[in-house]
Formats: sequence, C-alpha cells, structure tokens
Amino acid sequence: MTALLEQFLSEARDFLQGIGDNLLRLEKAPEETRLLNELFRLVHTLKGNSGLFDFPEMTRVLHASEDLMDAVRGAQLAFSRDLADRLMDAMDFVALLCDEVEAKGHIDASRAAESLQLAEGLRGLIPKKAQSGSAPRDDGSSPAKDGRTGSSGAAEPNALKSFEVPDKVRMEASTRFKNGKPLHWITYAPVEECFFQGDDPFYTVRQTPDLLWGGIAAREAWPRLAKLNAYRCALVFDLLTTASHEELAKHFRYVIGQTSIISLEPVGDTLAVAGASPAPVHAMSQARSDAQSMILAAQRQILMLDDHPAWQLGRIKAAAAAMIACCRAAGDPESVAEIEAALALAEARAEGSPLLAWLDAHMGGQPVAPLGGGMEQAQTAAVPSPESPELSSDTVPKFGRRAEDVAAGTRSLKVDQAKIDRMMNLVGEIVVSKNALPYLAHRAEDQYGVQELSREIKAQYAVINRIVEEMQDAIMQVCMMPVSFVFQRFPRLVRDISRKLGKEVELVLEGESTEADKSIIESLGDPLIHIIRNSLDHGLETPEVRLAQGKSAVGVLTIRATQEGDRVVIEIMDDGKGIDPAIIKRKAFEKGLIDEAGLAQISDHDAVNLVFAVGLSTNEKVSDLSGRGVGMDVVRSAVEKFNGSVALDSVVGKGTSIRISLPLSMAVTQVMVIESDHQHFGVPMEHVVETVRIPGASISRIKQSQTTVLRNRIVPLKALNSLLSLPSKPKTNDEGEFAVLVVDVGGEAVGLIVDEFRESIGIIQKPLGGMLGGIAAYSGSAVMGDGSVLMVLNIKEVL
Amino acid sequence: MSIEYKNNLAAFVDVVSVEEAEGLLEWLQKHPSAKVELANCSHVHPANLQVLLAAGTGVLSWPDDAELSAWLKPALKKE
Repeated sequence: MTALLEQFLSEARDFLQGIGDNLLRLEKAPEETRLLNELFRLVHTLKGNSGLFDFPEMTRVLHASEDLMDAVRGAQLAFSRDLADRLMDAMDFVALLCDEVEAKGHIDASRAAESLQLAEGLRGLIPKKAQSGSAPRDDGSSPAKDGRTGSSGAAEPNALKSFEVPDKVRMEASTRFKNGKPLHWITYAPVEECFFQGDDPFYTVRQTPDLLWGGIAAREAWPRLAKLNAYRCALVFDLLTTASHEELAKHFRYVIGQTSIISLEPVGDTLAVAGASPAPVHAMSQARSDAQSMILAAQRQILMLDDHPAWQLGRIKAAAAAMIACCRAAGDPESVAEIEAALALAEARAEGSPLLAWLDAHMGGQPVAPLGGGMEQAQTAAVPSPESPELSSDTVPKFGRRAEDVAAGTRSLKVDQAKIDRMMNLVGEIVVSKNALPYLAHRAEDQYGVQELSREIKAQYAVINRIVEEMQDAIMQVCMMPVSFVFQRFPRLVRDISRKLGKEVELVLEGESTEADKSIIESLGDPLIHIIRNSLDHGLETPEVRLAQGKSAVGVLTIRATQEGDRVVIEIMDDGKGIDPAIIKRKAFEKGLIDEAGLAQISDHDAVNLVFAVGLSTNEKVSDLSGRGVGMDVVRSAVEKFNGSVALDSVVGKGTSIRISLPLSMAVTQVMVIESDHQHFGVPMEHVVETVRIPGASISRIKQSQTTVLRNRIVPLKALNSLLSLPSKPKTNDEGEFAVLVVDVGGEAVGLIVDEFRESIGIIQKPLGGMLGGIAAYSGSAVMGDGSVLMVLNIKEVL
Repeated sequence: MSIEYKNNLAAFVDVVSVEEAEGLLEWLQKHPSAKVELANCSHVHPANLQVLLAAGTGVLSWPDDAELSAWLKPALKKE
C-alpha cells in the first residue's frame, strides 16, 4: 500500500467520522447552515480525495451524496431524518469500501452494482427540477430520464439484436458455451457527454475481455452533417463475450450505469437470453416487466401471511385475480391457465400454497436482468439477504454498519501534538532524575562509607538508564518524520521556477526516507525553499550559457539528506556558476558588513559564507523569485533557531553546495560539561571537536591573542574566564598543562581554555526566561542530577 | 499521427484522437464524396467514427489491424 493510499484511508475515516457527527448534529438543528456547509465540505473533499485513486465505486456514491447535500444546501430539499439515514448508509458503504481497500488493496468488482444503486437512490431524493441542473455528471451514473427502471439508458435487454452476429461467431459462441464458458451480451450506450470526460468508449469496448464479436450502431438516425455535433456521443456498442460477469463488471466499472450485461445461451442456431423459454416476459419493456415482478412479489407477500382470518379465501382470490390480470396483460395465456388451476386447488384447500408454488416456480431464478436495473436486486438480495427475493418498496440496500459494530482497527493513531510534548517533557524529567542516582551512589560511598550500597545503586542505575534511554528513543520515534515530507513539494517548485527562468534543471532527491523530529522537519521547509530558489535563480545558468561553458544544457540540483550521528544533514548542491568571493567581498564592503582590514584578511571560504549575513544579495537585479537580500540570512536564523548550523562551499564555475546540519531531535541535547572558576558550564556536543591538554610552553602570543599549534594547524586560544568576564586566571593541572576544549564555530577551530573537563551528558535544555533571556552568551539552562543548574553556553556568541 | 488529407481522400494514420473529429467533420462537409483510407490506422476515437458513420463515407482500405477491421467492417461502407 502506498503512503498516499494509507494517508487517504486514515483521512477518509476521519472524514467519515466528521460526516457522521455532522449528520447527527444536523438532525438536532436542521436549520444550522454552518453545519450543512461543513457537511458539504467534508463530503466534497472526501469525494475529491477518492478520485485520486481507482475507486469509482466510492467516488460515485460520494458524488451522489455531494449532489444531494448541494440540493439541501440550495434549499431545494429539506433536511430530514430520512435523508440523514440515507446519507449515513451511504457513508457506511464508503467505510465498508475503505475497509475492503485496506484489507485487499482494491475494491471488489461486485461492489459496482451496489454503489450504482446507492448513488441512484441518493440522487432519486433530489427533486427533479434541481436534478436536471446537475444531472450530466462525470461518471454517467446519473439516472436516466425515465426514472428508476431505465438506469440502463438505451440498453434494453434485447437479445433480438443477436441476429446481426455472423453465423461463424454464433457457432463459435455455442462451442465455447458447451465448453463451460459463460456467454454475455453487453449493450453499452455511453452518455452523450462522455467525450468531454475524456472517455473513449470505443477503446473501452475494444479492450473487453474475451470478446467474440462487437457491433457499432447509432443511437438514432444521423442528422445532416451540418447539424451533427461530433462531440456528442451517439453511438451504441453491442458486444458478445465469453468473459464472466465479474470480469465484465470490473471492466465496465466506470460506466456501469451505461451498460447492460445479459447472460445468453445458444438455442438452436440462435442465441437467446438465458433461462428464457421463448419468453414474452422479456419482450416487454423493462419498465413493464419490473412492474409485473413487483405486483407478483406483492401477491406473494400476501399469500405468505400465515394468519388465517375469516377472509382468507377472499384474500387468495384477490391475489390470484391480480396475478391473472398481470399475466393476461403480459400476453401469457399459458400462465393464466396455470394460475386458474392453482387457484381452484387453493380454494379447495383454503390455503395459498398452490399459488405460492406457482409464484416460486415462475419468479424464483430469474437470471435475466440488466445490470443497471433488475440485476442489482438479484445481486443485493444475495448480499444482505432479505427474507425473500421480492421487491419491497424500500429496495435501498443497507450495509449493516451501525454504531454498535466493531470499529475497524486502525493501526495509526492521531494524537494531539500537546500530548506528545507533555510526554517528551516527562521523559526529559526522568532523564534528569535518573542522573541523580550516580550522585547518590557517590554520596553513599564518600559520605556514608557504604560501598556495598553504592554498588547496588549503580547497578540499579544501569537498569533504569537502559529503560529510560529506550523510552526516550521510543518517544523520539513517535515524533520522527521522513524528510520526504518537505522534499515532496520540491519537484513541482523546481519545475515551475526553472520554467519561469527559462532554465533546464534536473532535480535529484536523495535520502528521502531519512527521519528527523517533526518540528525539525517542518522548520526545514522554508529555508530549503529559499536555498532552492537561490540556486535556481543565481546558481544555475541558462542552457546557452551552460553549453558555452562546456557543461551539459541541463543543470543538476541535488538535495540529499543523510543522518550523521544524532544529526540530520541536508545538502543542496548545484552545478551552476558558483559564487565569486571577490563579488561578495566587494558587496559586503559596500554594505559595511566588513571593514577594509577585514576585506584584506578574509578567506574566500569565509567570504562566500557572508551570503548568510543580513542584507546581502549577489544578483544584480531583483527578480520576483529572489535577490532582495533577504533569504540567506533568514535561512541561517531559521536553522540556528533549531540548534542547527549552515555552511556554504562554492567553486566558481563549478557550483555551490550548502550544508545544513540539524539535530535529529529537539528533546535531548548532548552537552560536554566543563568547569571554569568553580562553575559548571555546558557546551553543546555539536561544537566540541576535541579536548586536549596543552603545556603552557606550547602557547605562543601574537599581539594580544594566544595561539597554539595543534597537529600543524594554528589554533587561536581564548580563556573562557576572560570571555565571561570572570576575574580568575585559568588553572593548570599538576603538570602545568591547560585544559583546552577545541570547538568548531562556523567551520573554524577555536581553543577554549577551561579549568577542567567533566563528563558529557544528555540534558533537556530549557530556554532562559525573563531577564536572563536577554543574555546572548547562554542558549539555555538545564537541571542536573544533583539539583544544580547547568548553564549552556552559546559558543558562537561567547567567542 | 492523425489524419492526412489529400485531395478527396482522408488517410487515418495510427491513433486518430478526439481532437481530429471537428476537422474531419468540416472537411467531409466540403468533400461530400471523399473516401477514407484506414489501412495504417490502429485506433480511432469514436467521435471520428460517428462523423464517418453520419457522413456515410466510403472506405477505400480497411485497417491492417484485424481486430479493428472486424469492428469497422460491418459499420462502415465499403467502397
């Protein structure tokens, strides 16, 4: 099952729930137009969504429901309890289809008839006047003009047409029939508007399974050419096939309302409607034969009454009279005689069974019925199985899914974000309080001298630690989303922008299944769009320029997501013209972002990263896409808000790559605890490169700054104490070595001189509030296991 | 490919789509005695088909595609 389908099913259930709720509320307050509009919107959206998939059965019912709701909304029809019942039934059916899709991956072809019947039932509720406006609808399931009998449109179950079938085909049909193949005659009369809906009825019929023969006819005599409208379909197709009814129902599922399928059998050297003796019944119009069945069914019902009132005899006579009249009208003298005989017997016995027997014999198996009309009754009778196959006035099928039914087990759960956040916080607190155990163990040993207890606490801690870590992981999983959530809109974005710019761009997406915290993923959307726009607008060249430079005409924009440790890294790479550091330097200087000294000193790498500075745009002209000097600085601030970092690399003429690194989850931050001037500070792990001990002799002074050489690289050194305006000097250990924490700031290594290194721990960082919130040197604080507060340094601001 | 019109002859080639029907109708009104050649036709949208039926256009050659040919032969007029 695709992700889209899964999402659809989950949403569909929500929609159905919403529709049900609204219907219930509407019953109480039918005047409430707001509810009505809401209901309409829900049905409409669900219909639209279902149209994305190959579920014509579902779409058809929803479409009819939508039309009905529209009529109610347009005050053509009053909302009533009955209406609500019908709509709920329809929604139950949709829910049933959803379950079926979930279980089997598709909708059974046999649902088509039910769906059609349900849709027509719903449309039947719409007043005729209203209907005429909305009747010509997409799937052609709109009822035909002559009401319920003729859903099959022009398709009369007319086996007489079989005379057109060439003898050879007929022989072949007979042979196949004898070999156990079913024979079906299909009349397909496409609706007039079908061409506008993109239908190709001829193609549909040509694809009919096991087709033996097909004929094309005109619905009516052709008008003069000048009057002909080529786009109003006036064709009728007749087909003879040996495919099963199921296959055919499936093949014609989109146009089931325009199709009639009849089973045939060879009689002598012709083909006749199956089960029909040279039956006058079937020579009747569909409407009349329906009416007859209905009357006979009513008589049957009467005769089945098993109370024995004084007027029992009169009742039998009345029923028989009705039956006789029916058969007489149908021109069936044989049946009349039979019924009269049965009546005589019935009168003699004073019970209806002889007449019932006749009815059973003559009404029982009626294999002949058009799929659009009577066949449905035959089929639905088989599905929910009413007691007898008669046609009661209420032929609308019930799908038997009521509130008391067991709800389909959904495997996904929609949870309010706030609840997840609360769980996150609680897990965070557990993490903190479990960190208290090692301290306790220390105290047990150091203060109370119970080594045994200390060991036991430590052992217990290991267990709790494992569980808490797993729990933390589980919660994080809940909040994880694949980056494809943001990536999926890029193909369209890239296509639209590149077309606008007259550039040819191939977008390559990689690592779409990489997961990260939902809030992180969501925060990525806007920055990435900025970057993509910039790449398309400034980076990639037009095809002519590219060809002139010996590149392929199509530029490649690659967006790659990878997971590196506890961070997710997004790289956006283009093979465009790159960024010229000289231009950036000049611009930055003009805008006053760097001074003259800076201009001389700044490296090319640093220069190109100046694009992230506020108010710098490299493009000469401002376009409606980018170039107003906002964008890249927005990218940076958006990324940094989530403890992320962004860096840019560019080679003139070769392309630009931007690397965004974000934590996988916001919940727990790993920090390195350091000590300086008897205070503890946290340094986010992502900044820590290494911890080294440097002898005082290895530190050289260049003017005011201290530096050292670390593996052949000059690393500037800064004392944390002086950065934080703490008065004391950095301490050394017994060997006279300084503790240096090498941190990475925007790709540059800087050494922080601290007093002592402590452990690295996971903390739940809380932002500073109130007065403290204004101090940029700290990014937040956390409560340690021993109850003390750890201040987390914002390394960028401190340096 | 679609319909190639030559003098008094319309040759249907490959798949003749729904868009062709309007043009075909106009052309047949101007060339009432025109004939069609279907030999290279693999599918014809029914809009075109009904134009041919309504115009009673004669067919010079049937489609090479036997199945399509079987469909069209009883419906259209052999020339």
